[in-house]
Amino acid sequence: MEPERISLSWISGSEGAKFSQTVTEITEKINSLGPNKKMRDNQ
Amino acid sequence: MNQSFNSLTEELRSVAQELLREGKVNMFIGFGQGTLTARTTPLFISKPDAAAALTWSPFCSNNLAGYLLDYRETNETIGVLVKGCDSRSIIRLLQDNQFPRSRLVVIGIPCAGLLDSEKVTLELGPQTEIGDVTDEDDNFLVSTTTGQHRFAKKDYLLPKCLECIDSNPVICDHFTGKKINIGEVNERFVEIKSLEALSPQERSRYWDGYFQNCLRCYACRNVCPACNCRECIFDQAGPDWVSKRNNLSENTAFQIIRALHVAGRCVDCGECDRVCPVNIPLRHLNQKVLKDIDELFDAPMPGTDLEQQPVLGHYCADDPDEFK
Repeated sequence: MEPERISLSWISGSEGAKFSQTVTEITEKINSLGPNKKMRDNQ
Repeated sequence: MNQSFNSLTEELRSVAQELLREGKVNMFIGFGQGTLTARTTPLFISKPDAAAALTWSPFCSNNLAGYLLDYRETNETIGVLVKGCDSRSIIRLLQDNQFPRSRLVVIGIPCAGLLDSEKVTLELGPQTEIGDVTDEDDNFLVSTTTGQHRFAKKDYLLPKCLECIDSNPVICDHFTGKKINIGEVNERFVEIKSLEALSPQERSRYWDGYFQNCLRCYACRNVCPACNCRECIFDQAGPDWVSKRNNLSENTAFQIIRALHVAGRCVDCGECDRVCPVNIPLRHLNQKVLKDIDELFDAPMPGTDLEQQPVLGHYCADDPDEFK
């Protein structure tokens, strides 16, 4: 699997803005990578 | 050192016999002669006279510590024979309260390495019967029905033995034989470093080639002393984390999950690797985790020290990593 597809962030319960920003960034990155081909044999 | 394995076997038999006769153990788990050349089999004995069937040789590869899990729910006191690597499993089981120390008698034996029984059988032929074995430091001298054969340790030992860090047990109540010093061993994690140096695509090709052959027989899980959950995720009907379909995706998920589930509990006994019927190099997966434990936690091999808290099993307020 491409390493870019995996992300680890520490976000506390009080950091709503950081959570929102992180999810947006990850979504943009995943969209640019296109559909994942690995580990999809069941679909 | 020229220690004869027949003399160690004799000593072991008398220790086991004594423990059973005095009622200090209800059962002794050791090794018996296998039916094939260069093979041994786990032996479970509960009568003192049966101790005569015990054997000790460089072909005693099983990690017997795992069988303790089968006696978790009994009241029996179990005597178990361990080599250095196996003794680390004993420590991890005790640390996780998987078996009570009060019902356990550990019999330790020094081990100068195990011979690869497949390689030896190829050399000797399947009909040859093996007699005594003598340790000559660099070689094992094996007496057989077709004469004496020398096996160079560097060519015939199991890979894990060439990187051995505990030739003597790290925990035991009865020590059989004399402590040994096997001297210099190979550098650890050499193969892991070369796997780490591959690109993700190359590494994926390496593992895909193996995981596509996985039969999902779960022999690796069943033999593993670290696999001691009462209900295994791979047996659950739901939630469907990993399906039971045999394909590359699910096989890969199974193997990665298993490696991470035993992280911090795997002591590199190499049993998963040994029992795999399709020769998946499972030790490489576990060794990657062990290398990370070594580098990220600066912790020794799990199971080395009974008093040391397991890497993933404790919390300390002065953790060097901050909550970022």
